[in-house]
Amino acid sequence: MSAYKLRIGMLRLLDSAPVLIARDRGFFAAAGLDASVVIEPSWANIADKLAYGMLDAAVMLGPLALAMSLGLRGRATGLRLAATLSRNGNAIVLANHLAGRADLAAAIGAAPFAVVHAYSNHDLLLRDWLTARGVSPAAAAIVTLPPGDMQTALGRGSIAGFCAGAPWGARAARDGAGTLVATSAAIAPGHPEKLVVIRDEVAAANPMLAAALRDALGAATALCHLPAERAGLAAGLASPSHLDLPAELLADCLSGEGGDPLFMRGAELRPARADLQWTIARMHCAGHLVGIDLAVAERSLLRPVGEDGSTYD
Amino acid sequence: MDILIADTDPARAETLAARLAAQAGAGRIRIAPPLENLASIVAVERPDIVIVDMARPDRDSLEHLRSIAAHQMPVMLFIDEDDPAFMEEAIGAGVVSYHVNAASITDIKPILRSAIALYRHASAREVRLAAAEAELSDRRLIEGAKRLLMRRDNMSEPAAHRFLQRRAMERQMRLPDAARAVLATAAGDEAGDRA
Repeated sequence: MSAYKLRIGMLRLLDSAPVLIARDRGFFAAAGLDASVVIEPSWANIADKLAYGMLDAAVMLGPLALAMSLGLRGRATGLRLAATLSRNGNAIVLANHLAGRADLAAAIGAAPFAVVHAYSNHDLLLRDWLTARGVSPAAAAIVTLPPGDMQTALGRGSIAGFCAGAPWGARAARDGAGTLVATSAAIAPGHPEKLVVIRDEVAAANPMLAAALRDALGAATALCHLPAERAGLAAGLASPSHLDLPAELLADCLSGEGGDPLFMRGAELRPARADLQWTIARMHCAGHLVGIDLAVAERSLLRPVGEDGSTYD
Repeated sequence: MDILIADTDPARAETLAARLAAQAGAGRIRIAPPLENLASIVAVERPDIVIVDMARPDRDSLEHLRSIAAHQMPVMLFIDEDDPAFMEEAIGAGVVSYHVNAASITDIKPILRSAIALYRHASAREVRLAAAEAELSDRRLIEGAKRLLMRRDNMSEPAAHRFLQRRAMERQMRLPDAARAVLATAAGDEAGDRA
């Protein structure tokens, strides 16, 4: 039997590491997949290429996946949730002069906060954090920047702070460019972060695909959890053809502890309805789902199967 | 029509600007500085259409503009629902457009079509270059893995080659991928030893 050809899109983020590891170590091949990994520079590229069939699957932001399937961003695109790849892993960094200020709302003034995409967990988590600190998210300006540009923007004083994934928060704090004030693990412990989605047509044509992807990625995430493997994995991931980030920074963020991305293993990779509901509830609060039936939103990515509806295809 | 070109390649931006000037006739055509944030430029310049190179990592910033209260005009990704083949062509070539206000499909399409033609020409050259580079790096991977096996496991060169071939067949991988796997595992072992 020949391997099933699959194009998987990802960005250069630590959260995408299991995809590169699965390819390099032959885990996709072992799961019967001939996977080619496509590294994209923007979430918009991932969305467009999924929408027009140039990618079959991708490491995705939950809110963006929902926005795509509901037709809120570009062409309405049927997607299916194949895996929850990681939890936690984002950090909120404030400009040094703002950290610890009791009158945060006044101190921020009109300076914007940066997130990685309008439809991202980063945006939703930042809103949660601002609300808890007495700053109205509706009043705060939130803009999008590539995570690699956030530290520079902070240093220049053009943003008040940012919410980004690993290792960007840790790097800004290490370099003294800003103060890490909260990890997403502290704001919403165990929140779903990166998901793996498959295009509807591709998933429908291959009912075993999601499980095969979970097998391959599970083999990779199991390695990430072994302390003895970390330095070696980080060394491989650091190369310019892979994540193109400093190896020691990657190794530091691979522990899965504290605020680091926590990679799901084995059965944990199965998509969970509660995670999708978490995302939908927050997107609803942020005003992204005006006029949309929330049950419809849920079914757009997960379809219950079986008599009791407790499992998903 | 007021057009803003946001390209990572300054030479291609100039060429496109010249072509559009000849084609569209009226209207302003400007080139966005490659290193400045796209959303900021668009918020200040307020063009009707932005032609965007998909290689720009700050394209995401443009998708956020619609929710900025100070910027009343919505910025939308151009999609032609009735012509998916056209959209596939654009994305395949690596160029998309965003429109501000109510610029119509019939106004935007000829402009985007010119950009697609130019980008496709450039990307065909890049594809050939990338294929040549990939072949070179495939060969480097295989040579590297063979050297490792010869040094570490005292294999002869033909034995190392046979080992890789067998591994590739067993795991249903391409030969360069099997070589990469051998190198990756070894790199892990070495780093583990150091740690």
